[in-house]
Amino acid sequence: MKIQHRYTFPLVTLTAAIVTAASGNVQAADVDFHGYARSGIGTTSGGGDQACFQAAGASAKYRLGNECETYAELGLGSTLFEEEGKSFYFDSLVAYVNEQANDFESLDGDTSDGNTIALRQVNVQATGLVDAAPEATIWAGKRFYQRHDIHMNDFYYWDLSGPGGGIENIDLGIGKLSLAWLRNTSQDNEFPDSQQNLANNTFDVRLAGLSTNPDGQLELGYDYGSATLTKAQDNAGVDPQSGHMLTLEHTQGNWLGGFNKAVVQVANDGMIGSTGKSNTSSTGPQGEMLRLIDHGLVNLSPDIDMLYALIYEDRDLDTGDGQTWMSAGIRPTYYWSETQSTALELGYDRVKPQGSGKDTANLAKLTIAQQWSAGRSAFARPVLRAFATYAHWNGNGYNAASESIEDGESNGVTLGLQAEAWW
Amino acid sequence: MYADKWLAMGLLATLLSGCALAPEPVEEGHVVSTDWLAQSPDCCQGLADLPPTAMQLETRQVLVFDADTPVHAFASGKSPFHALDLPTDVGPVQVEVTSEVMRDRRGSLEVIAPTLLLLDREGRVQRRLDWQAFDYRPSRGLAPDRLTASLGINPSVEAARLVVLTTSEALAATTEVLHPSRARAQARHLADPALTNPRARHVARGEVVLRVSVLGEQGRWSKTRPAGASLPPAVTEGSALDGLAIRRLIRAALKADDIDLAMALAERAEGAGETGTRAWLAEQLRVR
Repeated sequence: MKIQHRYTFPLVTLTAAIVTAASGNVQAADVDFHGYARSGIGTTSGGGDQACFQAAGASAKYRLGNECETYAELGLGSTLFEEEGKSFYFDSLVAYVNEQANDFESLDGDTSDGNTIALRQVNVQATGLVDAAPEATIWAGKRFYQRHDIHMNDFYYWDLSGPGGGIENIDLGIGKLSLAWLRNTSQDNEFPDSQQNLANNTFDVRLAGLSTNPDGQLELGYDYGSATLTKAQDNAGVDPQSGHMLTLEHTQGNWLGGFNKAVVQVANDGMIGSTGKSNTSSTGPQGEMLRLIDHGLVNLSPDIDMLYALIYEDRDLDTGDGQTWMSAGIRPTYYWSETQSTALELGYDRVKPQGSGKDTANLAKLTIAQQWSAGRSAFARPVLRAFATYAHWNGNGYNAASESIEDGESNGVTLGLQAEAWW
Repeated sequence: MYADKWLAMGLLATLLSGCALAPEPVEEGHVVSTDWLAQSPDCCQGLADLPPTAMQLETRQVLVFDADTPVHAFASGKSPFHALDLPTDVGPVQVEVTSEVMRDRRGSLEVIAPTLLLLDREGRVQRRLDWQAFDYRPSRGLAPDRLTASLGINPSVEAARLVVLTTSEALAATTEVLHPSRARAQARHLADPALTNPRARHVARGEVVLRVSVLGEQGRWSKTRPAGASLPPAVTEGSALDGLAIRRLIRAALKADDIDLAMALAERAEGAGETGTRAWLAEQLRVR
């Protein structure tokens, strides 16, 4: 709203200059700097670097006081053009990983030493270009695409990120429709040339924003994974496994001061996987998967909130190599002030192989962390933490520790300091 | 085996309860009771009689709106207010007004949606900045969700007092606040969560923060000046103007993105005999 002003300016030149300055024609405006980072230091009781604990076969681990690497995502984006309701936004992001073992850790692309760099986003998103759906965004490039995750254990249960393109958020009135084509490439031992890539495609259709009840919305998604072969690959007799995945996610807002998400996913063959990216190679899974998830955040009192997660995933493979993964975790946090809190995280994972004669892996982890954060919230960042973690597992079956703890041991304690930020 | 069953039952129960529970939604446009306001006595006959408060420069000044704050029946409705006398010897100033979203004892969000009135020495309204003109800024770090506005003022006979109040229209409205999960999703490139942003009720009690800085050649903040340096002369009716000084002030206003103030200064300079100031300002705007 314009400020009402008494003064008048009869000069046409001055008025024209004001109009030009106030127009919406913006080119090459401000740059957005966004990202994520975590880093720290730790040790294991008994000696050695900090160990991290994860149940064998589990797709994730409860992360508080249980992250052993430095990981950062640094991104730059900018609205390159904007005029009359049409805009073009460029986004980019590079990810960095290292073992946080030394000062100078070269990111030379050798992933075997845990130090690497990866280009994860380079894309353009344009809005307002489709006359029939001016609210929709068309895009192409490498992109984090509509990811769904559980923060507590860093589990991305619906994530098809990668190179692709599509159109998203077409307003149908009852909800928003998005269509996308994404790619993830793999190898296949049956290829005559081991350097050949298998071009796995995923075609994603999702309808979001379906109102179901007060403060509740439903999102439906269908993913079809398949691969297109070259003539040489076809002649080699490669038979890529296509697959399908259905996702239903209900989000309940105004849920005890927070939110709850209930998810049902069913998939088969090449779409069985942690994120929904297809794997059509000859070594890919064949069978069926059912995954049930419930996770969210609640405010137990003005000074206590709690993250929680429940996961049940059953991979029933034709080869008998499937498994059932069950996971439960809570992270209550007490806020002493706007900047200080104490968090407790209790997590339990159990992975039971499909076949008989194989050991079930279980793991319980308990972490207490004193935190200093910019704000009072489960999602307030940056945050600095001092933590202590205790983990227990069936050591006669496997070793849940990443390092510093011998095979056959069944428990471990770690201590450390960590910083985490996103912006 | 039993752990499997208990876990599955717990998951199923939570899944079903997530859909079945329908917590009481916050009504949009929920009007906070203002009975206390209607019963408060009107302090003054008119705008010219509003009791003044000194405006503090270069510091954070908190304006408290509580039971002890004077109340007046403005044209826009009865409201507690603060009337601040603008400094007359420092030249143009930049005024930043911030109203933070707070939580009441039940945890509900509330905020004062301010309206600003600029009065002349006779108490007549010369300029008005309504609550709709305030920008909403989402929570970032230790800065909470807030409404904020900034305006440049050239203290003079026609700009003598700044009144901070709220209006009946504002009290009937709410402000949409970014859900914390949505802020995280934006930072982490996640799917936009299917969550409705909460709304903060507009209330007439709370705090509004003022930051007033003197505009100078160096920019918006003139916290330090060399000892003995003279301040730019106040631009008052009939005062002798130095062309160089007025253009310094206009440049400072442009640097603060306050085109209104720059135009006002140029108009006054022209009226005081500094011909060509408008054309010079037009050229400055053209090359920005």
